[in-house]
Amino acid sequence: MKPERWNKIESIFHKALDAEEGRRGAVIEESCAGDEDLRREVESLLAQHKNAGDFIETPAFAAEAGSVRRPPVSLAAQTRANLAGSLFGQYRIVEEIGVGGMGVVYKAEDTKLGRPAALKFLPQDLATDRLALERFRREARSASALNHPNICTIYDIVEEPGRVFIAMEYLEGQTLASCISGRALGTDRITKFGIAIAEALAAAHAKGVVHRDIKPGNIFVTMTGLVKVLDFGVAKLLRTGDELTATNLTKTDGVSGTLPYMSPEQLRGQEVDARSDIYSLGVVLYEMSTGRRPYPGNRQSELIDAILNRPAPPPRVINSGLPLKLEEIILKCLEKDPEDRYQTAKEIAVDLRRMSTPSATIKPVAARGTKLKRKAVPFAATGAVSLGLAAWWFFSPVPQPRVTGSTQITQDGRLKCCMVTDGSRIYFDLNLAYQMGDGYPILAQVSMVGGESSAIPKLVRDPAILDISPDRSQLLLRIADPGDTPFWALPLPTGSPRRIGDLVGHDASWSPDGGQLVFAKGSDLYLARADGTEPQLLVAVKGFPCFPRFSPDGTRVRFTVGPTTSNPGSSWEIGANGSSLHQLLVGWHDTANKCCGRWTPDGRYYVFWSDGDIFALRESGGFFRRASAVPSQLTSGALRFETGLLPSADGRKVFVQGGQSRSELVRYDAGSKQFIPFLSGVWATWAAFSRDGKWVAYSTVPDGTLWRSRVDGGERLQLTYGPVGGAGAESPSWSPDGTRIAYTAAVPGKRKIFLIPAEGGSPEKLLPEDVEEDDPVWSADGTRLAFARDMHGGNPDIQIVDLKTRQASTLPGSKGLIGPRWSPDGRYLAAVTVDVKKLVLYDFKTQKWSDWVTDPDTLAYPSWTGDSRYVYYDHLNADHPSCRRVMVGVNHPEDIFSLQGLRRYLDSGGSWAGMAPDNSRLFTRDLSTHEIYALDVDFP
Amino acid sequence: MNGALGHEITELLQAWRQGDEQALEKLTPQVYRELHRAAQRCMARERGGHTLQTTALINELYLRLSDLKLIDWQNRAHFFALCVRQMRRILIDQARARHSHKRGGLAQTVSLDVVPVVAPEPSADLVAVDDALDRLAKVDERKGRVVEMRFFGGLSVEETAEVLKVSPETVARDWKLAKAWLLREMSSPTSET
Repeated sequence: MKPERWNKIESIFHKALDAEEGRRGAVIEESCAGDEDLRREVESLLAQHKNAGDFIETPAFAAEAGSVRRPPVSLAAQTRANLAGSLFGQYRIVEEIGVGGMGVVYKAEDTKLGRPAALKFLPQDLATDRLALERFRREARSASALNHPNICTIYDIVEEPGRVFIAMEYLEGQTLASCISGRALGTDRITKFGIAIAEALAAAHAKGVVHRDIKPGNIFVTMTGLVKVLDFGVAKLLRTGDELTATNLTKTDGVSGTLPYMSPEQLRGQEVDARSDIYSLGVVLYEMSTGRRPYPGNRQSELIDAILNRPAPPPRVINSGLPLKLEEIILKCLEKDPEDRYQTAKEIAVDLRRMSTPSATIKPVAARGTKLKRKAVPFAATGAVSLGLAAWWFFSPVPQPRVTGSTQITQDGRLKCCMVTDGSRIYFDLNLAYQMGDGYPILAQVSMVGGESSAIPKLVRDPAILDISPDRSQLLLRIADPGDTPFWALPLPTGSPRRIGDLVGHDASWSPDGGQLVFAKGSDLYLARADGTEPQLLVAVKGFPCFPRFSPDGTRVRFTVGPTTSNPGSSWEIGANGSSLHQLLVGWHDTANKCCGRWTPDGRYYVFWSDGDIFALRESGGFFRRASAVPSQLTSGALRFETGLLPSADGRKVFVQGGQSRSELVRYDAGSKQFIPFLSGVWATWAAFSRDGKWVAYSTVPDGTLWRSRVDGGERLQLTYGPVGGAGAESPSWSPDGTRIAYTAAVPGKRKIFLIPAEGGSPEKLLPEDVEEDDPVWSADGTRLAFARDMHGGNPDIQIVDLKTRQASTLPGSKGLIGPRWSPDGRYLAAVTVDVKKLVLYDFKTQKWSDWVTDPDTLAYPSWTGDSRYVYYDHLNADHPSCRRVMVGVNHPEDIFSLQGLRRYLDSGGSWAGMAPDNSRLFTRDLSTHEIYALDVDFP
Repeated sequence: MNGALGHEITELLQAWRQGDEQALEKLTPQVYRELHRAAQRCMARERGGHTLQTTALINELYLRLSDLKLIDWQNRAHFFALCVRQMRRILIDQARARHSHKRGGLAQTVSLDVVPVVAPEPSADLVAVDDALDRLAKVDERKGRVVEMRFFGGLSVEETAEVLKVSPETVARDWKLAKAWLLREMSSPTSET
């Protein structure tokens, strides 16, 4: 385009915008002076301007922090613009509410009945196919006769020339698919939703209507928590349209559509009846219970094979907190033969209901809680003893606060932050995704005594909770975008959010009397009246101020200055009148980050976060004493605590957010260049395979129990039980004949090698000596084991044990080497120097060592390929970690793929990597979860 | 953290200030590294939180440097622009990685369900915006930069005006037209990938 032309367009565009709405047409007319092209150009830009809304107003970093939201691309962009306001039959289109493969869905108003409706337009090709249309009419008509609270009601099927659409109940909420998004739901919800879906199916089946496409995407959970099954009787027809588009959008090897939910008979193309829906409901229940579908596999053929032939792994393998009865119900739904399943949906509803009545409950939540407390919760479990984990007692004249017990409050595992409480409930932000920097926050609440978290209808986009008003009538929110954004007050329990004046900032809180607001904007702190008027600078900070909080008496403000590259986060105090600015906790853990402190309601303690633990600082130790100089540590141990913390209103508890370790094995798929879950459904690391590639042994996270199973997850067997020979099992290795597994386990102070039969049995210590052993590997003929000795001590070397005589001898020339890896053909042994910078190779034929590869950074977890030609290893460069491989006889490694972006699970030995039987590299991905806990604190 | 790399940046900035154009070239990857690290650190420590983001990141890096009183105003604007450019690269790389991740695999089975939910806001696919933005820059370079500063850099209208040395009013007008142009560009069938 010529610049003059563009300038002209620009000037008319702005001229039109500056003109009054009614004069715009005339302004354009006049300015374009008969140039139709120009006019079209300007008008199309103005039309886009009108619809632009928030488009790119949120900086990319925030959009990126969530998943990338795909715009409703040009799918019928034309139609969209034209339809709002137009009338179809008795329906007047209000706005578009969704776009999908099959077309567009609109919110409409039923002009006759005055109620809202959703209109779903059929794809053109279907709308013009006479036969298909006839079938559609027939089915939709029978479906529209369904009247059930758990079925989205079909009001009408309307045929206009060239257009066919269904008018149906208008719902607000989200699909079950987005409720699940990869994570198990709590048992209460699984049961509640399961009963509702089963009831809906029972009602439909009674009228002879089979759904044929039951899946989480077709089940809707309304804002009030009602479950509605969508698209009864028509789903399959619509799906035809979907699949057409699906093939266009997905890679050919991806599984599209609803294959994972199809029953075996449906897959075979046989006639389906109600029991096919029951199978699909089984898959949905499975997914609600575990966050996953029963069958892994990323290829259609694998999935089909699994659905037709393989038993589903029991869901309790994945979610051990699940009631046994629920597992039985699910597995009965998933029977391959329809005759073996539940014969009616009603029976499922009955069984689920029976399970959820208290007398029959196996107390899944309690069971899970107990387990957590035993394994992970670092503070005293029930208040009886503090186990020495909780408060650190300092020799001090002032009694120290101590933790007397703890309760797990939430059960959802998701990232959360920004807690506030009204005295009975905790309000917080819940991140719907699990990965850091992924997903959008929603508002949620949970009872202070624990239970299911529930979402608060989202009235502000991407809300971040900052505070709750002193009278507990409203939440203070902002939009979780980078930089400074407007503040909102959201009335509780419901109401419309309103902006607080025209204030913007990135953090704020109310004064104890509710009359003032302290807020952080840029690098400044301001005070303003609670309605947002009269903002005045309190203090300009060099750095990034956040978390401003008034003292309970309203005289002072404490805040955090965010960490920078050179300084850790620090806590500061200033008088509410702007006087006496000073840093807190000077001289105490100066290099540690401190953040997010809050006073207890009585003002006697200041509770804050520092580098993963929670501390309490006593404000005043008595009449003549100033505040205690040394804070008391409230937490320590296995859980890592997030920055958010919240003293309860009654001053007896502190709510904290803690993380828990979980991981899954992933395989790097060279074709798709992705990390794909491997051995789905177990929190695992350290996988090793039998020579024939059919069996796998692995260690579970975080307890380090050794298990073995078939590679498809079948015939799973727990091999070790703690503590002797069972704690922290690592480095499993199969004997070449597949009968035994060598592994290491922690014995007090040392790691030792054990042998255990692959079919189960007692672990047997390989050698009696009191010396550290690691990395056992079998010789090709199974008669010997090589291992690293004393790898953390002063004299590491590689030992070879004759398994018959149990005599160990040093491999000549192996001083200073660790991590032995015997090649599958038995000819070579690769090892790593103790500084983990060099890979060396021993040739049993020539009995000589040679230097193989030197890595300037760190070289970790070498693994041989099955043909003994290559060794793969992790090249752990801080900025660009990658997987490399090197060929025997060659000294230059190749970079195979980047490890950047893979969130790896860290254990004592770094992050494990290994090799699958097909020579693809395996890693352990971190899936750790986060919960809110209540610490019972005795504040003296 | 504030070790050798910090020094290197400082020296390069000094050289650049004294007229060594090559220093800027050398500076670019350093800034990229710093921002990348800052971004990762930021995510690691924030986890579910959301206080420190783009502007904070750039500001952090920038505060450190301006603290050294090394950069005069002209260079500061230049430096900000450089940061934004690098930020854009980081974001697009991440988006591409994520996007390709989303396109395959069982877990990401494409679901095309049409769901009656509350009306979606027009939202942006980063990569698509990035592509369209490249085309906009060919038509009107300044508007391209306005979008780059505001969308990828998270700068306000005023900050953008300072960096581009135009009035805030001009930035606001450019922004309006650029948004409309990009939306149109992104919804035209030829631009779909």
